Amino acid sequence: MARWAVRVLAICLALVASTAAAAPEELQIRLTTAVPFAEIRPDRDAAAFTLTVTDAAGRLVPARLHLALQAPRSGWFSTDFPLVEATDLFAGEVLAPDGRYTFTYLPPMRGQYRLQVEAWPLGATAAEPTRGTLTFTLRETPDEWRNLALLLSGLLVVGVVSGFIIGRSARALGPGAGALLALCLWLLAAAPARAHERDDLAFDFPAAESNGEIAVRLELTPHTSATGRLTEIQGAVTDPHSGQPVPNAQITLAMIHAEDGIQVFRTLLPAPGGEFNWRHQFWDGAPHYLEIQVTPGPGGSAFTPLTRRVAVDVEGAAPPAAVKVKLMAWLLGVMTLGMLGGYRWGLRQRPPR
Amino acid sequence: MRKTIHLHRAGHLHLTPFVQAALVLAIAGVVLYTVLFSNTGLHDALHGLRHSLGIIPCH
Repeated sequence: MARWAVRVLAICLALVASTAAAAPEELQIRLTTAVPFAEIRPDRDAAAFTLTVTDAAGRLVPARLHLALQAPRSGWFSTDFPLVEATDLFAGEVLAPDGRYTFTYLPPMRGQYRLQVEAWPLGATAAEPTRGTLTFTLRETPDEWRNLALLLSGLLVVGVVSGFIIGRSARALGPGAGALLALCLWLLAAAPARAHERDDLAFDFPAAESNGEIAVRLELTPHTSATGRLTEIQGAVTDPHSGQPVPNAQITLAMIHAEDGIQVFRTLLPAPGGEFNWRHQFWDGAPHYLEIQVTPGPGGSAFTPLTRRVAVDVEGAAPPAAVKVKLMAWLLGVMTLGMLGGYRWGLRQRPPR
Repeated sequence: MRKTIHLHRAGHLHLTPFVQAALVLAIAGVVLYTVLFSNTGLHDALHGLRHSLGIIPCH
């Protein structure tokens, strides 16, 4: 009987041990930047972000990563891009062949970003990835807070002066104010103009290019992108003669703001079967260039690199009315405070009748 | 013979301080909206200004 008990115990221990060996290895994922997060200025500086995948012992682990970056939510005040707040900024699958993956990105706004990462060790058969959510916080550019302080100070001064005039002399509004009002109403009634020039750009999708050795086809869904939503970028690398996919090419995907010439995003994409895709939000409602460079990758065939640049139309949309109303209330509230102070001051200065 | 001519001031408008303040705020509101929020021809000229103020929503 005792011998049976020992056998059962041994079998149980063996089962536990084999289960532990088959469990997916827990990976550590870290996000770092070339410059400290505090020095990255949103909507100004593109920064290099690096994801590092290690095991429990701190050794680099080659991995396949699925990334999804989410924009911050605003606090009391809106950011420059209210339609972009709390939306997905990009999503896609990349490789960290030596345990590191680096991408360049220009973040749109201040606040806390959430990067959701799923990691699978390369070559492992683990079905369940290591999941993690990495956060980082960016501060507003100091120049912008200074400019805002100047605006609010100006409104306060205008409020004090107008309150003083009303309190001191009860004078009616002058013709200058009427003229200013008329000018603003005329500007408001003017025909809506489309921001950002698009006339000299051609937005042709699907785009195709060939250098005789490889052919690249690029598709955008939808063809016209828009702020606040992801646009799917799909592509394929094929042999122009046989039409067969060219496996393991290395894809460099870059996005450039057409007006500023600033590179707002850059990444390497895997194309093991000749196809690649990436979902991206163009958060500024202005034309962009999408640049794709195809080079021979490890384990793939040799060919002459190919680069193709295409223009992407990005529709901007007016900010939500609620955001505008709330902000107008804040600005006029500051001016009203100034008026109340100026009015009381003016009353004391009013000459005796 | 001397004629006396009386001139009368026409269109005299007396507004209470409250109404004057409301009018000033209304004008300021229209000016602010035009400069900071409107999507008219002014938008392109003031796009940089709007993005330099930190809290002005744009597209």
